[in-house]
Amino acid sequence: MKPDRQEELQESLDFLRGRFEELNRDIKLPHSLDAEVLRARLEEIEEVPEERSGKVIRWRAIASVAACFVVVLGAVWFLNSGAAKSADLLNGPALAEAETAEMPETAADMAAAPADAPAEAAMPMLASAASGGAEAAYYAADYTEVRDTIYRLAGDRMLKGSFSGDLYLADGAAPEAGAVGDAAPAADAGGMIRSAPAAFSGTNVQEAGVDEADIVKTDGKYLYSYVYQNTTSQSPAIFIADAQEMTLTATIEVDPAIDEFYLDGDRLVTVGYSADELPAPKQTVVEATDDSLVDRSAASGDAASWNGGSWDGGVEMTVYDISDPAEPQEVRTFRQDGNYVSSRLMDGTLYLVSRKYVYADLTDKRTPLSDIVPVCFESGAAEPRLLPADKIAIAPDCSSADYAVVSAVNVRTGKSDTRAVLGGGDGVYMSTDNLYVYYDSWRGSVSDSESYRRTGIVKFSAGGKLDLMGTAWIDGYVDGQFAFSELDGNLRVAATAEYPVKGVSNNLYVLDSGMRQIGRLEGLAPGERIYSVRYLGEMAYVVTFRETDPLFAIDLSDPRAPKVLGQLKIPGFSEYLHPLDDGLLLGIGQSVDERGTANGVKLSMFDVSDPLNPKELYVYNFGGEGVWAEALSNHKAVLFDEERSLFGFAVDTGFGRIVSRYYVFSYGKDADGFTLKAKISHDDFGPNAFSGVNRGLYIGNTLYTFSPDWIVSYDLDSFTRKEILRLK
Amino acid sequence: MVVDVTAVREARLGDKDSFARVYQQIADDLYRVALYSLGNAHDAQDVVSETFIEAFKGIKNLRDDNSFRPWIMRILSIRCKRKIGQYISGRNELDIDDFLDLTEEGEGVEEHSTQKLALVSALETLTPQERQIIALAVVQGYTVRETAEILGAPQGTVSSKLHRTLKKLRAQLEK
Repeated sequence: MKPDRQEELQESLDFLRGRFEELNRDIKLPHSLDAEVLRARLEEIEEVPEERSGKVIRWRAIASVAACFVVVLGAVWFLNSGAAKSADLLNGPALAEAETAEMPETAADMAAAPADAPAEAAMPMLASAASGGAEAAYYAADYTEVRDTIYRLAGDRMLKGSFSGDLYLADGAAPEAGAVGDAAPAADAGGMIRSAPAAFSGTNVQEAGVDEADIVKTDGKYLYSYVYQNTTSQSPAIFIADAQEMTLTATIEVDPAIDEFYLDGDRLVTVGYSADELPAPKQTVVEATDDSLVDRSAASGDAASWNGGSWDGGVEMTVYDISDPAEPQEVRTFRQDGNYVSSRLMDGTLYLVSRKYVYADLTDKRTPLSDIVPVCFESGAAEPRLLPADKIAIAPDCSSADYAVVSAVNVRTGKSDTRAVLGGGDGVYMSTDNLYVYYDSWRGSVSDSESYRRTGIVKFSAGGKLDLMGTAWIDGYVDGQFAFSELDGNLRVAATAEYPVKGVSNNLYVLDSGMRQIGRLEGLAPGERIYSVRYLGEMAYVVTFRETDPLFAIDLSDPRAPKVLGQLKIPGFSEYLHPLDDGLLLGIGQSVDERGTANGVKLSMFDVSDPLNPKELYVYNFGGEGVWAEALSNHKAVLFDEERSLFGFAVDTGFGRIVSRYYVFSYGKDADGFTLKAKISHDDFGPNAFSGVNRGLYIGNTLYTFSPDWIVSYDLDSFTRKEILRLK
Repeated sequence: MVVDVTAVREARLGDKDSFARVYQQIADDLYRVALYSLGNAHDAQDVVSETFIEAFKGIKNLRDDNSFRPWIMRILSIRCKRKIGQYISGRNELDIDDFLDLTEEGEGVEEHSTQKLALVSALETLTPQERQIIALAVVQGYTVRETAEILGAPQGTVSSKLHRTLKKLRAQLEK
């Protein structure tokens, strides 16, 4: 860290510690956490085996502490039609009729969104959701408009003065305005699958054809594993191993660290946080806008006492040429402002999404424009460039001065197209046609029919060029990317909302290609919140939970009229749902004890072949306390082999020292549910802090398991161990 | 409070009373870190009591009696991280009542309350992960390196995140 920054850090720490001391005095240890109280619990402790053997439980409709599995099917329910309320649907296990759902007439409308509309033509006005009746999103006319919007949003948290930091001013030329070329789709097929002789597993992605980054990948011939730290490593690195020979081919050091990476043909693309100081384009806010704010603040006597800003860090993408995996070559980098939110890779284009917060004194003449406008920097460019105003969209009804910064970068050519939306970004959902950025928004006080939290959704086209297609608001917050699904141009979203009078309830919305609400289902599982969602074609499966829950089956075959078909009450809940074959659904989640505390890992097999009567066929429980799995919050940690009816993921057990092992299960409706086929540990080769298994993938008949120190292969039929490779 | 190393040793050998005593010495710190990280007393209590049990079960794995404090802090942080991982994405909810002892009386309490409220409001704009770093580096006073070890994260990342988060906090408090 540069000395100035070190000083600055210390200064901030001292300042804040003083403030915290006050607050700390108010924080008192609750009685329930007193030593005498907790001491009593030590008497109850017996030696608990690390995991209990799986139990096979046949279908039952349960009781006590249960989760709600909701299967949503198409419904008949128009927005203004006054049709039967969803409350009726919730009371009975099934709907009276199951009519044939017809595709709505708006099929023609849905195709309307032009993917190749000229982007920068006069500010396009775009459709926005009917809810809220807000105006549409629009591109800013100039920086003054951007600044004024930020001023309005950040108003009372605008700061007068900030602490000193480095401001490295580029000498010379003003930043060039305008985009640096268009993102052109990759010419060659590239993609994940090389002409490998054997089938191999890919990352467990949400949408086929849209790749998601992970810490291990394979192309069928080589294995790639990102290791932040292991026993011998000097720095974070990606290890490249020959899968057949199980030898180390090369190592790419990635300093300081990355988050995750992709494989795209003969290219490897890393994505992660970069804290490197960057030169900032020289323009200041006042230079680029008008003086009205400055004059006003001068007139009101506000002092401008700003010392400087610094590059807050951003997200960086690096492309490596791995056509010769033994000699990886760094080809280019691309950096953009903001914290990394997520990314996707499709057709040779990387879609990078980050979130930039704005803290700036807009009334100070010295505030650099780069403090309020996102910046991008490509290797090879002379200097970073500011995003032009006409690529900055202002979301309707936005309430915070945060940007979602979205770039489409061509992996091969490096050409990029960047947009930003003022309004924020918490996460991303991408279909093969469109990229949706969503953000959470709170309101302190609302009327009776409004929910406290809303989710803003911004839609971009994703076919080589980023175009802002529309925005919408929905009531409630979403559980993550799986809350969304696009089908035939319509976006389905499931959300948990809380209302002043009604309390908590769950809703499902259908938005058309113009982001207008055309269908909805409200009031599902009141009092509970959504824990997992999975859409399969026209069906949606939703798990909600609080203390008692049903599982709902919802029909979406008519997008204007989602309807509940069936429900099931079960204990515990699923955090992740995955389709198996034959009308079966796998749920990975947790059990809940009598006190209502979630613990352990629970596998469920649901039979949803008859959506009117969903059943939980089988359950497999891993012990109670001390057991956890990354798969509970990260779908990419799960490996599926549909052909062999296998799945695998790592489970952490133990107290004080955590042991991570890879569990492989086979599944089958007729095979009595789940069968544990293998429990793989790398501790056999030298237990230490870096032998926790975290991923698995397969090539042909071989399963490869990964830990920071090792890659170990097994035969996928007999699970006998084959080879061991030390990563160093 | 200083941790009694002899008591740690006895706890490690199975003495439940000693374990309880050692716990009492760091309980306030554990609760504070959990409360800042998770934002509400209910979850913080869950996590601290889980940590208590887990630490007791695992204390025979403790290699150095002098590192009891960072060791148990690490257990707590992992538990917090898991809990945070299960929060709905983007949720920054802070339960203000859990942070303020509103029964306090006395002179100048009005002004103090305003300052404290400002701090709590500022904390509300942070993500749970950011608050976790603040809890360790600012409230507990761990160095960047120690914080990184406790969180199991790269030092560079922690340093940058801390820098960014402090900036964010100051921006709101220095109005």
